[in-house]
Amino acid sequence: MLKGILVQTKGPTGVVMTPDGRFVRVLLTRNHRTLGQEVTGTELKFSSFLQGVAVAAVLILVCILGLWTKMMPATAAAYVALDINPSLELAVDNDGKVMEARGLDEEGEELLKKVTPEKLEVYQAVELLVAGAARYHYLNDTNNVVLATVTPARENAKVVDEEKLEAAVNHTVAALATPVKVVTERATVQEHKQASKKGVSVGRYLIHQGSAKQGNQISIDEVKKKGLGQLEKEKGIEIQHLLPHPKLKVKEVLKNRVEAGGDKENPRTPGKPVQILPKERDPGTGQSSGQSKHMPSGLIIKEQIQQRPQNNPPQNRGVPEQNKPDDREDKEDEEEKEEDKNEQRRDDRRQNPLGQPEHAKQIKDSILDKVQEKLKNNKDNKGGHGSDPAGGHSPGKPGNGPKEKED
Amino acid sequence: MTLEQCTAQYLNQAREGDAQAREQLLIQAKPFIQSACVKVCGRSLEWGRDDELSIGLMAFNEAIDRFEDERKIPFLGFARLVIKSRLSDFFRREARHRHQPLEYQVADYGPVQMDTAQAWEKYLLEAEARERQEEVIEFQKELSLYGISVSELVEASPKHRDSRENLLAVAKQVAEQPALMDHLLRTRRLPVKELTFSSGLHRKTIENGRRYIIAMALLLHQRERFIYLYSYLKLTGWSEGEEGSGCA
Repeated sequence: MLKGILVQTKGPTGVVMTPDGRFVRVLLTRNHRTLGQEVTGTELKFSSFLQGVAVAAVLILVCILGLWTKMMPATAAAYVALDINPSLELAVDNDGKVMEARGLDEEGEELLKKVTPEKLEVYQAVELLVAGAARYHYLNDTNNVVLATVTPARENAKVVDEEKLEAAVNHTVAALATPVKVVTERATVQEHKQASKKGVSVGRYLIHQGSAKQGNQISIDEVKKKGLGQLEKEKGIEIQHLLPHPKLKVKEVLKNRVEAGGDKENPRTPGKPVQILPKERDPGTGQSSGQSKHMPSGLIIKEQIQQRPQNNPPQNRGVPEQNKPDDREDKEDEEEKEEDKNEQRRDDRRQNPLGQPEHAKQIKDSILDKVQEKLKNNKDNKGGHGSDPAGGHSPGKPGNGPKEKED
Repeated sequence: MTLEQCTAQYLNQAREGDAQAREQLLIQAKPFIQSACVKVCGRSLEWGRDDELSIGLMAFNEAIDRFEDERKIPFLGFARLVIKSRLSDFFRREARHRHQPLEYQVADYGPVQMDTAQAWEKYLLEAEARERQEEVIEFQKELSLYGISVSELVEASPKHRDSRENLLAVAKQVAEQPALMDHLLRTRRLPVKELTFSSGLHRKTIENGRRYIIAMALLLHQRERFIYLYSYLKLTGWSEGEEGSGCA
């Protein structure tokens, strides 16, 4: 309440002059309406209580907003779905750290009980999980496909680098006794949403979609329950062919690593889409080789043509690759022998055409022949791609360097 | 020494029987009495020539005795009421004063018996209310001459005590310095440059508080015209504090 001389009236309000010389608009009480009289009225402004409430509200809002912006990117920077057979999903924050891991199926949950990837860097976490999966026999002869699907929460967000992720998986996989196919894929937020609606991982969802598109029906239940390796074998498919994003590189690394001596593949550098290893031991995948032959061989040919005129010096390929296998060099000694044989064969093939682009067509044909021949030979060819002589080098065993140079 | 200061100093002494104080007060009040009488009569009056002034002086003297603090009427307002009342009586007796304002003829129709306390009370209340109302309206009119509306005044009056006191100090300065006040009355503008100089406030501050300063300066300067408003303001410490020293 405010006391003052009424200076002006207007409806229920009036202006009073207070003793301290303020002119204030007030809400008048009914009885005093004569100008010049001392009246009391409530000041027409927000009361201090209301002001306090308003200030508090604003503060709370700011706090919430602050927390929100802090939380939001943290929860949603990216998701990495890992499908081995256990499906699980890692939520990655802005710094590339795993904030949360959840299993998308029972096996995934079990695996997470045994391994805790939280707070690790996503690449380490993936390594850990793959290693864990292998250790607890989720990753075995029948289930030998690892599909890592990255879903950035925002477009163009580069929180998780697929290359690095793939490298991480390969790194782990390389140490395993079984050959494992590694595929990385990139999914959009919408796909991620739909997948979680259906209760499957994004990777599996994409496979389901891809299969529907190609008329090769795999029901969502099958996708949900079966391991990817199992699926491949049963359906006679190659999951990378079902993955939808044409603009995205589907990369596959097949590691052939048999105690008896096999070929070993390292993570590839981007742009080399296909590799095939001469030896595979999984008879299950043999079914798929026929189907998958056509497409990949085309790819290889393209690659060949591109590479030929460039006259790629072998060192170029050797360099990046030499870094990675360091840690397993000891194991590789045996393999190298085998590898060397392969190399020699390929090198022979290549010697003529090198530096002679006019012969490209011939070369192409001869390569195609050889690739197909090889595919036939390797019944258990898992990758389904034609054998790529150039790709074959890429493992870049230290021993390879000098050999290739001779080319 | 202003009349207010004198009143504050001598009124109580005079009421307690100090003849000298009363004398002082009457002398000081002469211009006020004159202006009050002129207002009622509507013509110029001169001491020693017009009876109205004598009646006014007597009425003022009477007001000193009859004044009661509890009424919450400022003494000068009260005195003016008494003066008007006495003059009305006088006019009625002197039928020749037909030129007097109509309202007093009507309002004071019938014998005002000062002796009947009730009637006096009634008269006082009504007259006071009317005077207050008139005064406020007059103040509004005065402000409108300077292009100031009451609503603008609400917006212009500083809410913070410090800034308000700053502007009030400026207004006081204007009211007390004839040169500044003359400038304001003549041009209807505030002598901003001089004020920034003398007050030390920023030009912007003064310009933003322009309306408030003008209103308050007018109120402070024409204190005998806006008795009620002014006396209401006087309750605040800042003007009371200087009364004593100003009077001494």
